[in-house]
Amino acid sequence: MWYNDKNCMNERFKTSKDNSMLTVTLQPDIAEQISDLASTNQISADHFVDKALRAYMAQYRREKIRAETETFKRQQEILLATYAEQYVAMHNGQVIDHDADLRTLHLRVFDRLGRTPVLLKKVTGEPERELVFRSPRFERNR
Amino acid sequence: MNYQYNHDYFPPAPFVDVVFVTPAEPLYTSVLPAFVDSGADGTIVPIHYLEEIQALPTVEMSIRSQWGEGRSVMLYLVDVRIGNLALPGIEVVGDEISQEIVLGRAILNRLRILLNGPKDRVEVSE
Repeated sequence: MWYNDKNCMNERFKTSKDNSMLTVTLQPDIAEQISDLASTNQISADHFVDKALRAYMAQYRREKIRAETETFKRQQEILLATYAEQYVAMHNGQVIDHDADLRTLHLRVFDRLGRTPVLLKKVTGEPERELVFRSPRFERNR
Repeated sequence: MNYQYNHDYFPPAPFVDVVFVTPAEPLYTSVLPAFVDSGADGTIVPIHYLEEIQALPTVEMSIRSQWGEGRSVMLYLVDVRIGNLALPGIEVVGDEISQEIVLGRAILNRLRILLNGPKDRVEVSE
């Protein structure tokens, strides 16, 4: 699992911050591999690292939401007593905000936490919703 | 707004042009072709478009086909623009496999859409 209590936002690298840019010091072995792979792919090392980190962050966000979803399910009965038919924002297992409107809640949470992934889910006594896609396609040789 | 049917499909398929926007930031995709599909409960967007605008996943849920095959997916909250029409706060499925945008009823039910097959045209209005 990419996301867990131990790896959430730990400082794992030596960093220095200059406005929105971040300089990261890598160990020589990984730096060498990045350089080789970037060269093989005919892209700059900066571009290679940027792409790799974006993929990692996307995966991290999904794992965080999965973990929050599990917590939500465990707490659903308790949440129902307080937040019925409201959207709740759950972060690190805690409800940090709620609203009847999903987008309004999202904007408020974004103001507070930026791009930190936060579970936004409606608390309802209804069975878990499932999206259905009913449009099979013919396989044809073109 | 009027759009042409897409003849890369057989039979030709109704398509419209859409733009996805991050609600909290001025980040948006280019204009993208999207399959109009009233058989779909929700809207499916290839994940790379959502990551490009740094849309955030908000919840995990299940989807399935009419024959029961299912999978777990992430929903992302975005605003959607079709021409000059703005549809704020839509949850879309982030698709890690296909490259096709499918517009489902969560969006279609907010619009008036005429599938004018004989004239090869899709007409969209509020």
